[in-house]
This record gives sequence, C-alpha cells and structure tokens, in this order.
Amino acid sequence: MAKAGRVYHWKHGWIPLDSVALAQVARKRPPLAFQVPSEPVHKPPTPVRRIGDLSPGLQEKIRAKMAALTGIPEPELAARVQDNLVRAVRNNPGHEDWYGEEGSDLAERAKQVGTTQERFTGMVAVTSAEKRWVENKDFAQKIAAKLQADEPFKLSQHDIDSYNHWVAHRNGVAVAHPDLKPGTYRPSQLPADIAASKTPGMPKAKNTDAVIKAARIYRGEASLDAVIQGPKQRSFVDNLMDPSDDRFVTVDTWHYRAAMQGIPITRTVKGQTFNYTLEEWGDRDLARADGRAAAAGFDPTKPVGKKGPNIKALMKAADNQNPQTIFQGSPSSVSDHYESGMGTYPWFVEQTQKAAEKLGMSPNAVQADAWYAVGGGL
Amino acid sequence: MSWTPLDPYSNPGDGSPPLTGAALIAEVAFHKQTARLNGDPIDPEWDQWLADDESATGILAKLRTR
Repeated sequence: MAKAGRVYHWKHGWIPLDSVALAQVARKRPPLAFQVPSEPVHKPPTPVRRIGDLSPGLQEKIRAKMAALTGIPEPELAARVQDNLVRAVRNNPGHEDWYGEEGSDLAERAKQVGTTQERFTGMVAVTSAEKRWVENKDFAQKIAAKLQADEPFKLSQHDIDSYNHWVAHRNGVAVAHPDLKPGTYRPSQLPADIAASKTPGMPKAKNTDAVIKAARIYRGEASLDAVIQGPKQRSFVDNLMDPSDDRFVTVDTWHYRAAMQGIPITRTVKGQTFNYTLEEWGDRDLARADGRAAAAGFDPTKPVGKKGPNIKALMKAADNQNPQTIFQGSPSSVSDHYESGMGTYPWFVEQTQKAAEKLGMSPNAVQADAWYAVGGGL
Repeated sequence: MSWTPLDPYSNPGDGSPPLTGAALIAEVAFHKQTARLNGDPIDPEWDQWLADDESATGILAKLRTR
C-alpha cells in the first residue's frame, strides 16, 4: 500500500494525498510487479482487407451517405472526385516520392536512436496529434534519444506520490505503481508509463499517453498493430513503411479538400439547409452573412476579438464545419468510424485508387501531390 | 525489411486525443511539477495549451474569481 504522502496541487501547493486518491491508486494497481518482457508481446496482425472485402451492406451504406451529402448520384460523384484528384496531380507534380523519401528519413533517424524503422515510424504516428510533420519527427526522436541514453536519475517519494496521484485522477494508459520505492533508476528499469512521465528532459505532450505509447513501442512492449489506431494513422504507417503497396491511402483533411474541390455539400444547421463547398463551409465571412454565425451566438455589434464568445461562435459556425465533421461525423482528433455508418474513409480510398489507375501512379503518390495542391505540406 | 502491413479497417480507436478542460489543466500541472522536481525548464508552450483551450481558460477564470 502506498504511504499517505504529499502531492503537489497546481493551485494549493503541497497537500496530503487524500484517502479517495489512495483508493483510486489501489484500484488502478497493476496485477503484477513491473517486469520488462523478454520478448515483445505481439498478437498476429489482422489480415489486410481491401474495400471490396467489407460487407456489401456497409459498402452500400457508405455510398449512400456520400450521395446524400452531395445530392449527386454516387457513380457521378465518384467520377467527379476522381477527376479532381487527376487534375490536382497534373497541376502539381513533383511530390510523388514523398512517402519513399520520408520513409528513408525515418529509417536514418531510427538508426541514430538505436531502433528499427518500424518502431520509429510507430513512435512518430502515436505522437502526431496537433504537430506539423518535421516537429512530429523531432519529437519522436527526442523521446527515443532519452530512452536510448538511459541515464540514471533520482526518483523521490514526492515523484512517486505525484505520479500516482496524477494517474488516479485521469483516464488513460498509465497505471499506478504504489509499490515503487524511491531510488536511483535508469528509465529502462522503470515501467514505461512512469519512465515516460518522469525521466528528466523527456518531451511533454498535451496527452502524456502519446509519449507512454511511444516508449512502449521503443522498448518492444507494444506492437504497432496494437497501438496504432484508426484507418488514417494505420494507412499512414503503411504508406511510410512500404510506399509500393497500393492498398493503402492516407485520407486526411487535405485529401478531403483535394477530392471534393468545387463539389457542394448539403447540411442542415439549426433548422436551415445550406449547400456549400468545403471551402465555403469553412468561410467565416460567409457564416456571418448567411446567419449561421448568428445562430451560433455571434453578436455583430461586438468585435470578433481573439478570445471570447464572438470568436467562439464564429469557430462553431465555420471552422467546425471541417471535412472530418462532415465525412466522419466527428472532430479531426477522432478516427473515422466508417463501420458505424458515420464515416466514409473507404470511399475516398477507392476514388484515390481509381484516380491512380488513370494516372499510372501509386495511390499514395496521388495523395502526396494532391496534398501539396491544396496547401498541405510540412 | 519484413514489414507486415496494418489492416486500416481494424483497431478503430481514437489514438491519444488532445486533452481539454480540467483534464488538460491537470496534465499541465503535472508537467510543471515534474519539471520543477527534475530541475527541467518550464516550457511556455504548456501555458499556451491552456490559453488556447476555451474550456480550460473558463475553468481557470472561475477558480480565480472565487
């Protein structure tokens, strides 16, 4: 049982660890003492499926959603999207080998930090939230470098108590370690969650779970198949690891924009129906002009400002009408739940593959060119 | 290289989505406390995360007025 120590509260400073927190720590206590697995625990990966392997009912549901969103018969819509992608590539060639070049860079970085390309690519993928690409690679490399250096550091009772208190009050992948004793440890001698949280100089993420997952991948405690979630992230890793495999397409916000250029989408907001392109849905001036901003609480007599209710209303009316909301039914941080009927991921994959066939290119090369065509990039 | 591709249509979770509101406040407090205990610098970016998060700034404003 953990000692009733002190914890540091962000507002109140040092306070006694309360009984509620201790009970929560006890509940989250791992069943066994920490032990680094001698061999990575990998489950056999699921066989890769193509879109055609999904059930006919699900495929039909996704096609029907695309037709309903646009009011265009699905075969005609598919042809227009393919034309958009073909045009984007023809107008913006030169980035076809993006995945090959970046995969090589990841392999080189992996060597520098003593790991494999596969593991390092997984580390990059799990730490990608809200980061630009170069920043993302550097961040993963810093985590790996800290784990590779494996420098010993002092872990005090305060460190342990604060960690256990933090874990007790959050939902995530970290678990409490109430039996851990103060001492000097190398990160490799500690469980990945506390090593990721407490190692001096370890990069900090908005959600520490990302760093913990990256540490588990580096240490071979988690397979990519177990940790990388959602069709976009899994396809991104597949593209980086083997750009020659044409089964996978990374459908991100830029790809939705490239695919849907000039194609209006019908949505009803607060009882009013609008028919706009993706660009128009995200246009704040248009949202003010057509009443969507007012419906979201925008007050035209007051300045927009950088903070406060007016900018919040504008963002709700325009910025939040982004491709993920429209095509996945959820914010960009949430993966496409295509199987629930909310998402459309496989449909965009299919159109990209067909556009690639027309161009005689790989689908990921089409996506890379189209990405630059609509303003994506590093 | 013996790469076994990941099936895009399995493991459909949401990764580690960015935290918001009270959860983000707690995460930043933990980062700061850990940095102080380790003698690491406090990264100004952590406060920026809070400033950029409407729900976190709302909670902090309410606490300050108590």
